[in-house]
Amino acid sequence: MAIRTFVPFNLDEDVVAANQTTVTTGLWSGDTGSLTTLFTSTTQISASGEYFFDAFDKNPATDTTAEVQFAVAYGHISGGGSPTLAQDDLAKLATKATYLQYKNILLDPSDDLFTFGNTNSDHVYVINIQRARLREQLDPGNWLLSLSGSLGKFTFIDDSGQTLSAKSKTSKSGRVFNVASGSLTGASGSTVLTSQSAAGKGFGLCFPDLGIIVLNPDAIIPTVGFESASAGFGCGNTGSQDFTYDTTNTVIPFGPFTGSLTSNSGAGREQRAHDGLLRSIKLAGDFQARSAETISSTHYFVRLRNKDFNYTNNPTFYNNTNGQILNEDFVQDPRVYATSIGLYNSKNELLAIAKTSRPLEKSFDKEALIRVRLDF
Amino acid sequence: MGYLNKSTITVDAVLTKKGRELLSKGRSEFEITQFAVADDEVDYTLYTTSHPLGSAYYGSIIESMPIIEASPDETQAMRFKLVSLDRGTKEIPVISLGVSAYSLNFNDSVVVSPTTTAELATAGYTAILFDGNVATLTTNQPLAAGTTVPFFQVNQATSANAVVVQGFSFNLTSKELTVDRTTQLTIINNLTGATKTVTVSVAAKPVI
Repeated sequence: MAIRTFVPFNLDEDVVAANQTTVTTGLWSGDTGSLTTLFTSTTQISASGEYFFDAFDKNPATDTTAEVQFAVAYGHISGGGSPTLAQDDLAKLATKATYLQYKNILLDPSDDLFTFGNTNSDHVYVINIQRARLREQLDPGNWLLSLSGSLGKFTFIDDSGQTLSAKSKTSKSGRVFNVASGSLTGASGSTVLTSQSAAGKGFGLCFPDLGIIVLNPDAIIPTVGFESASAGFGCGNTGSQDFTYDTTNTVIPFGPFTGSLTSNSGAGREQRAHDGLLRSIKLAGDFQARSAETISSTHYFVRLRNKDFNYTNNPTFYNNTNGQILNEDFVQDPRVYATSIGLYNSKNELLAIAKTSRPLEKSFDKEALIRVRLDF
Repeated sequence: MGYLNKSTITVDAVLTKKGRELLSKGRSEFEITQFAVADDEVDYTLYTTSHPLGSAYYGSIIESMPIIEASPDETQAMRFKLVSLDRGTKEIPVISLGVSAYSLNFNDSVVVSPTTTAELATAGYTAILFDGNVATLTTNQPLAAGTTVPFFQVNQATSANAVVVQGFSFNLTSKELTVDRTTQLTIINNLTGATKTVTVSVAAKPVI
């Protein structure tokens, strides 16, 4: 028989190419699906807090394994909540920059304002999932955002389970779904309670391919119950006044202040309105989400026929000087134990390798069929 | 009547560094056409023909071993390949170099002439010198033009200083060194997968 260590694949029979599989997993660090506690970083806030707050799974001040899970931002088309250039020559117009940044990313070029339902909005909350968590996309229909305020705890989902073909649309930023008040239960995988606020305004939009959820403050705030803010109060600006309390002593986050600021110091500096949303998320203590990734797999069927691969170059198998097989039992009935399958190209370059879960016995009276899956 | 064995074993493969490199150039550069099988982790002295429970248990110690996950580093994988030989084979083809090590002085040169059974040497050899700063390695007797050479493991020598050449024999020449240095020379039979590794020692240039 021909001596050989390599066996060519029959490409018609042994190789099944391009099987596509969608793999989903918990979105947050450690592949967990629910985020119940959140922390912020004073370092990040002092560096870029006027634009966004990062939300960590652990306290970054005390735990080096803390990782960013998502960021929250607030944008206003006119720069509401940020000092103007008239007030500060070095003003960054953070809220205006944020609104326009997301407008450019998410909306069509002819669209100047975010539209929720049939209503345009001058300002938006943005939840931006950290890229490392996201993998390929936010799994639509499988995320649930809980928000707490003076009116209680409310949960929000996207409506992909109900309206996948009817109401979803594809923009330049990929698929877009409406954010609705609802829960992840029911025959469709989710149940929408209402798609609009009492005033008839849409709650927001979900862009799963980008991992971005845009919320409409004008619908979220009256539904959940955020406290009205004034300049310098309640928006992540002064530590002691980030919350207010209602008559039952319930903590209530502040909504954004969009009026004119009085100066660039004290009560007049950056309002950081996104802090209100982050505190509402922290109070509710439950942000469920999954990531989804489409994996293209190729299967290689490795056939170890009875006459093949019954000897080995393993130095413990034979005398390295004269080649004699060390175990006399192996002369008439050789047995070897495969642990690795190498996949090679025609130049004999090792391109991929697979390991068996345990040594696989091979002898002249045994054959094996091993399916090697390679994901791309 | 019982249940049938599930006869297909499914395992997941990981790309090696070489695989990722080629895949980054496009799928057309990444074409798997053949496979090999190896038993790198197995020590056959664990095959116990004196097992108290009899012959069914000779291989039980080996079969019970947990297997380490696949490494993407091709230098650490597929070192000992399984080989197809006729039943009744008593000897595994081995490479002989005639020496157990090479010891070179400054400006020394030696011809490395691996030998195997004649019919098993037709595809020649691949030689890997793992540190090209110690000596030079060149082909002395090249392979015949047009020979199709399965030069496996060439790309396993990923060390930046490694030198890989092919042929039937090789020239090994010391380099000028200020201190004594050693490295390894591995010879691989291109047909059988047999390998032989010896130490190469090069003495520093004498100070006059």
